Amino acid sequence: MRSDAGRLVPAGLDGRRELIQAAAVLLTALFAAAMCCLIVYTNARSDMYVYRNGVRMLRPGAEFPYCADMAARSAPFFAAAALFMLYKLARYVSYHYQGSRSIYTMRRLPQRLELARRCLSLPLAGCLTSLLLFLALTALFCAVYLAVTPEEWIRPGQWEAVRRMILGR
Amino acid sequence: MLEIKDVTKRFGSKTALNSVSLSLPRGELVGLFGENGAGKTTLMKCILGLMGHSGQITLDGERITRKNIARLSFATCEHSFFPDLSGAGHADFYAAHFPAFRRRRFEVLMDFFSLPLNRAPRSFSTGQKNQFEVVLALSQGADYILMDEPFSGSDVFNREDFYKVLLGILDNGETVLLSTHMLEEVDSFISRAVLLHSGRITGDISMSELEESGESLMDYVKRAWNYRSDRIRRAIDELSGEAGDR
Amino acid sequence: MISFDGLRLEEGRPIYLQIVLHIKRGIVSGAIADGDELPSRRILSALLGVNPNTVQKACRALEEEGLITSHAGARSFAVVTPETIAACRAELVRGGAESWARSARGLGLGLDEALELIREVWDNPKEEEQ
Repeated sequence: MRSDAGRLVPAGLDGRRELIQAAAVLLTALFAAAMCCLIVYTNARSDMYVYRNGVRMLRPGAEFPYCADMAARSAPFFAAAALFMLYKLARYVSYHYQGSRSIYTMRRLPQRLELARRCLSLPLAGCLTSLLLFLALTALFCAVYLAVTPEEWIRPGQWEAVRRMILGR
Repeated sequence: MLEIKDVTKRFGSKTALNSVSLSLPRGELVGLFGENGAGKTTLMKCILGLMGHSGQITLDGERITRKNIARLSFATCEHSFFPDLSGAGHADFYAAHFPAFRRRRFEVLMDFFSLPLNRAPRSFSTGQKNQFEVVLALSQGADYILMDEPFSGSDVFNREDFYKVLLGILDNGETVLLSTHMLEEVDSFISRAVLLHSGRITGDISMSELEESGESLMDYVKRAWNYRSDRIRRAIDELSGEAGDR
Repeated sequence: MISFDGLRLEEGRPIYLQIVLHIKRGIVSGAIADGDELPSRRILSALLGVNPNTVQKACRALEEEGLITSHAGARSFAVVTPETIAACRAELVRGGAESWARSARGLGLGLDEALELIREVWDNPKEEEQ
């Protein structure tokens, strides 16, 4: 595992460590996003009620938000993870200019894509994973939403809302 | 044969190389001399494909591409090794990427220079870094070894060791292009001297020709650069003239 | 194996000639005997820090004078006979005399003065600095 991971990062960096770091960032983002979803949901639920004269009752005309909109609130965490991956990309490239100019060696290798592979692999995979985790969390959240939310609160058009979130319109 | 034909390289308004042509047959040890900014580094980087240029550079008639680039190696005073990769790690990397990597030679040279195989070069002294850089260039298995002031910062004993090891270790077919300021140090080591001045070739002579003419390399270089040996006397005259006026 | 330890290369004179002279001096002093092997071109070039072409030139010159002979496998051996020793000695001594005469003349000495000087120092030679 170590030697394989070593081939995906600039020569001299610890591939395993870079992998673990990337995984840690993604997992942190996932955890924070999940917490965010939880908080958003519970707040939304309590927002459905008002207190009148000490009695809890449904707010008239209250609409329970779409699951997609709630899940979208966790997007910034995954965006931050993706930004971290871009930062790693910049670091990997600049690594070849620090302490020496190992960029010269990389650029004269018979293997044309070696430099790209070592700089892009982890950051690209990280960004992709971040996106996939976001979609997975969204799916999971929506499944839970549909399971625990009272039927009468679930508005029609949930799928359209999901599509809107993903496509941006 | 490494053929450089009519190579020109401009950086904005500055012309670093101006129509440079040069032929390097196998087996020669060529000294490339020139003042700072003459274009020595630029020429080497053009040969290695590290920068674009006009004109043609061919290796045995073929353009230099990924298919034959392993026949060229590079040692530079800027150092091109991986600072955090151990010596042994470098050997593995080179073996994986350069099919002709000479592992035995690498081990012999590392041992000769007492360079540790299990430490990363970031922790080496300047002299050791220079040595390591040259060891890599020599072990790659290249036919043409380009060295750009590889000894800058090394002490004189280091440098003498280098030249002797180089002479002992090179095959007949291995060619070295060495750019350096230290004319007198290398004049017995090289077989040919090429002079670069402001991006142009101003001299190209074999050492045996030079020997026959009775001129020293230093004198030849001075002549080619129109070095005015009387300029010091003139400067002193001018200065003492000033002093006389006061 | 013929040793080159004692050879210090000087500026100003062609290196291949210095190598040739080293061999001749060795022959004259007896340090080099008939059949002694020369180091290979590559080793000699590395030992002296000198381009292999220069070593090649020296070897060619020595071969032409019949002082070394090359066998197959790029190994060379000294050829030392009483004749070659005498010839080398004569050449070295004459060469020394020629350069001394040149510098003496350059300093303005006439022939008689020069001979007188030689007679003087012949009997009272200073210790040669090692």
